[in-house]
Amino acid sequence: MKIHLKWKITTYILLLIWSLFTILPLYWLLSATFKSPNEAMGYPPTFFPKHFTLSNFNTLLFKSKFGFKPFLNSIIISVGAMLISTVSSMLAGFGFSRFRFPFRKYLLILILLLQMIPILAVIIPLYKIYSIYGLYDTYWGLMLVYAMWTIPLNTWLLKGYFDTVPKEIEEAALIDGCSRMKSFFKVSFPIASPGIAAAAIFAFTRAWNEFILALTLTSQVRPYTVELYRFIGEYGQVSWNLLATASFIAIVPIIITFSFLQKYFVIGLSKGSVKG
Amino acid sequence: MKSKANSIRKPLKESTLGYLLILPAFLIIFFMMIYPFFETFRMSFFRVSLADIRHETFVGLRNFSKIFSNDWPNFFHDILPNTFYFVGGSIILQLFLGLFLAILVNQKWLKGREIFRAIFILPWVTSAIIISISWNFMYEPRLGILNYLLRTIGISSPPNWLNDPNLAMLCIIIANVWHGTAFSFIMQTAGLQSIPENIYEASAVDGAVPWQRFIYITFPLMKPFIIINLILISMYTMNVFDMIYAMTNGGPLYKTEVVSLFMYHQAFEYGHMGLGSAIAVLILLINLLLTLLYMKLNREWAEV
Repeated sequence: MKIHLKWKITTYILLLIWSLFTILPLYWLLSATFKSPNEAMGYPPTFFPKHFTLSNFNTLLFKSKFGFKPFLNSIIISVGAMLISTVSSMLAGFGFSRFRFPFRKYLLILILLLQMIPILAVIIPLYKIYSIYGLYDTYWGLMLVYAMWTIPLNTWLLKGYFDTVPKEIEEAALIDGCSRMKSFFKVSFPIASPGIAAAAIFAFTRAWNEFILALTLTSQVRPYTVELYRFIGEYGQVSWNLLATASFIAIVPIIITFSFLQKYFVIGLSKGSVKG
Repeated sequence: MKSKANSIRKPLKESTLGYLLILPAFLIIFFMMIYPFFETFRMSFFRVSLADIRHETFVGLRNFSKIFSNDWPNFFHDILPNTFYFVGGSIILQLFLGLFLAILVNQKWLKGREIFRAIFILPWVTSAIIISISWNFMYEPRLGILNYLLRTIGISSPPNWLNDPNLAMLCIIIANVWHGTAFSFIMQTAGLQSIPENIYEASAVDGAVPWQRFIYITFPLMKPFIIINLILISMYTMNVFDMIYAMTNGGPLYKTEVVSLFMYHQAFEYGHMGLGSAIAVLILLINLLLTLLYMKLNREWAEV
């Protein structure tokens, strides 16, 4: 029994150490959001803000070169990518789940394999295509490429969801006089809604966090990730307090969506187990 | 009774509607992924300059020989060892820590499991650029918390971390492990949860002690999860770009220039788009190899 207690205590200590290690870098940066410029860049560093201040938000959004434009760009691009990815994966997932057509299986495997191609390996031709066809430095350009990045996985995810909806329910709706598409919106769509939410959140977060495509394919329509990077490079002396504030603003939506994500993933898992 | 005309028309309509539903997704995938994919291969045989992207000169395999003959960074002296160091160090640590943490969090008596899980997954949802900034701030030689702690325990001249050629890669591996362990943790948790409880109960009846349980039950049953995890993170780590680009941009002295940065620098910094494509082809081939391995093992695993 004594050994057992020791083992329990060791486990908790180890888990706490990893928790601290996980939180420390983020805390250390984000706490600078609430420090004055002198405190954030002074020595010795302070672990807790000595004089708690919100003035960095004002400075960053209205008085610095950073402004609020990068966040606005990120919101437009991420929401657009989310809508394009979710709608087209929903249609494709439904098509693969409910319809039988030639090459269906091969097309399904094809999109699974496309998942394995790193985006970096196609970035050079993408740059070329974007320059030639006028997609360079546009909202549409980033929306489409971000949507593409999540469509394969979302199609598979949603196909799985539609597979769990018994065909009989839809057929009952058909007998009741619904058209095929109407029965989809009235019957399958509500049942698959947790999956659709998860797909939407996945598409949003991926677009929100992306950096290298945005750096390569834009020069003015820049999301916050690229501006954050340039913020370090351009001003020699790094304003850590402003950098921290921008990171803080960027991280908040992710933490909010993440809490939703967990909830929907639990529902998704329980749904999946019913299927088997 | 259905008429004959109706029964002929129905399957036609079925497949047409099916194709129509998948069309939007495939149009986007085609123009943004499949076409550029083949374009990468084609461009690798041409000399294309960033400044004049429409102008192409056929050079055969010269781009590929250039990869290996580049002086500094040299492929065999710098790029390859850097990539091995980065990928090897990252995946070993991530796998070990992910499995270890998953086992700890999976203990039946543990309280606050959900909180630990939420904390451990946090780095996985944070954008690479913010991770880089956080760690840059940690490693900052003058203001960083790391050197502050070292000075307080009496080390008067702490290292320069990211600016030190001998330490830079290690610093990046630590930041990458901080980020990537979450994924291994999630996968290994799924693996542990797939082991039926009654196997452990049976072994307890037979008098197995905890470490025996791990070696004879947990480890063999987890093996497929571990192998799949290993292949996936090898692939992810090979393609890590953002973090290194924002932390050191390949420096100091090319000590953190891995193959993905090498490609990007050649294409977008020096403007050699053809040479960049050739390096991209190399990266694709390594990914293909890992994918084939993954598919082979995954199928065997499904049959068990």
